[in-house]
Amino acid sequence: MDYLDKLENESIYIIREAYKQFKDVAMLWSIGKDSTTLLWLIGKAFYGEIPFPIIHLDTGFKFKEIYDFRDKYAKEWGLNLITYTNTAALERGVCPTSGKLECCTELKTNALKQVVEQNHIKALYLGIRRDEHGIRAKERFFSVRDSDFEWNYKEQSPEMWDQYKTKAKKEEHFRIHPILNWTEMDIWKYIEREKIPMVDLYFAKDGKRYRSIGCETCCNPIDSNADTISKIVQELSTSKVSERSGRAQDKESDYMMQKLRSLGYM
Amino acid sequence: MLKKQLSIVIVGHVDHGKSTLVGRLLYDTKSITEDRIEELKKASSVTDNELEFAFLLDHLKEEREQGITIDTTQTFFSTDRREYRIIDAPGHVEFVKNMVTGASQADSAILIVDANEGVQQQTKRHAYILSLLGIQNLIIVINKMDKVSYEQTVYNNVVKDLKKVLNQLKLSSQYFIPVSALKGDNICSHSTNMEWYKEKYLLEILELFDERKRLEDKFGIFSIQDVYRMKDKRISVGRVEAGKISVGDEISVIQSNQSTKVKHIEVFLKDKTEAKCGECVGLTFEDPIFVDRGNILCVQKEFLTLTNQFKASIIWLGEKPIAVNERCTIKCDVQEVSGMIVSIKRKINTGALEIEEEECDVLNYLDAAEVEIETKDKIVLTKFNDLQSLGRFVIVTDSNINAGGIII
Repeated sequence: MDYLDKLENESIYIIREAYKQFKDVAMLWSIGKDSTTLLWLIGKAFYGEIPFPIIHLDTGFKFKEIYDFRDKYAKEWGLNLITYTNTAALERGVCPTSGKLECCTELKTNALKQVVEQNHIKALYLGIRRDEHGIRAKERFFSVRDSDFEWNYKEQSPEMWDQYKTKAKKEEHFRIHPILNWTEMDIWKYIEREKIPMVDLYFAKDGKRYRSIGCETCCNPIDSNADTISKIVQELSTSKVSERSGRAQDKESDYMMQKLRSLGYM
Repeated sequence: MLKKQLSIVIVGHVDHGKSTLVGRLLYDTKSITEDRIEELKKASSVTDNELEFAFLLDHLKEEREQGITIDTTQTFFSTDRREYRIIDAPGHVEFVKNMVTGASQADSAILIVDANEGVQQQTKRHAYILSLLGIQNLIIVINKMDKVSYEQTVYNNVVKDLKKVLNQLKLSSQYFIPVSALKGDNICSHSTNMEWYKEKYLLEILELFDERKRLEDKFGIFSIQDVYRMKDKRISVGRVEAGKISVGDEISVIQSNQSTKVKHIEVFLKDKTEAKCGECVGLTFEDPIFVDRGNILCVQKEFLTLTNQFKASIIWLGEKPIAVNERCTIKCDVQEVSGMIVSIKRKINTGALEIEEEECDVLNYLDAAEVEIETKDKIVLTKFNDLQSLGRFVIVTDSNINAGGIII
């Protein structure tokens, strides 16, 4: 087994463990490269018949390319897709220019709370990775959130030898992180090997490409001529800039990401 | 060609410089991006320090303000030879659970000791945990040599004390290195401050280590995670825990003593006739046998034991103590059974590595002991030294993992 096979197998093991334990599960699909890779792995784990819903939190501010990609592949892959928007917040006028912390909290975190409650979800698969951000490096594969979605990062259960925390109180839910150990480079190499379809935004056009995608309003492209996956892999191996440098919510203040995550952000 | 990966955990007493060492490794191997270095410079000036390498890993607000690591962190760097996953474990006694989490995911370990302070409680405790986890590669780093004027005699004394601890735990290490993580001595190049040290520097030694060996030479063992009912068949999904499984292999379910042959190896959109150790695949069988979550399948059943009584070394990590004959759940690989500790012998204080009681009734937080465990239903086991995945287990009480143990 090579290194990517090892990562793939570890992830499939975790995906199957979580489904066995919880059954009432769902996956959060942002349509970005990480969650699309996770979706691919989940497809493999369940032999192409994913037995649970795939959720897209639509802030209303996403790139058009993201919506097009979502609709095309949800159909092609036969997904049970739930799209959800916190419309009450949008109607109140919440938007990126009115404050980024509030905007992320309302349109992502609170939207997630609402959709989890409405669908009685006990565990949620997320495509976060440790190397993305220091605060995400602290995560477990199975991570508990309380009824307010708060993450008690100081009191996490030990996780060893492929044994994870399983039972939770009624009001809690679990975050499952099957690709926690993957790096950005691993993701691209795997996408290349598996020929996983990706949103065009990642590929350079007129000297610019997006390295990390989310809402159109809060993402900045980087200078790049990488218009194929192998050029992206090449670019990453020489890059001097971190992956999320174009993401506004990481930059507001030193601890915004910690604040967001402890409040239930992904 | 894909590079291999080695994962290393860095352990040791609080303030002996674990996070600084990780930061130094990242910095010297040019694994930190420019915007992170800028961020670091900004954050460092806030607390009025020089470049605080530890900030690269300690991302929680509390961690930076107090200058400690609370939870384990992982980060990556690479050399021409391979990729490294570095796990930084907290040194405070309050966070041993987090240290165990980090260390259990590593192939190799660096035990770091402050040259000035020498062997401390957490040095001993972490060394004990490394021995329990069966970590094969170990490097001892004597840090902060700059604070003791790079004196060889100071180094020699610390090494002497450490060797005692390691011998007691039957841990062996050929590698002892004097370093200064802060100044970069003997980390990624030879130090000019310690001409008396002629051996290899840290990165050179890391490059020598082998990745964790997969047990491919053993008999095929497969553990069942779940059974999926697909349109026309039932697929038993799980993982090859040792050896390999091939189509046509005669295989026995250890728990029920039924035998059959492997009909297909099921992987999505792929044809496969053989699955190797570590692979997660599905199996279908020639005969309609009953299998379920928790079943262990083996090509050569004599290799494994089915029992409801076994001896183990454990470390108790629960804040609430556990008493003899108290109900608990034992989880070993995919198996989960109800059980209890029926006797506790040779209780060790892991901070002192001394036997406190030859026989007792209760284990408290961070006590280690040799215990005898009885389970309600039988469980498939082997000695830890024979096969790690079926030779180690966790104990769950109050729905939390509160102990790790190995079968002796």
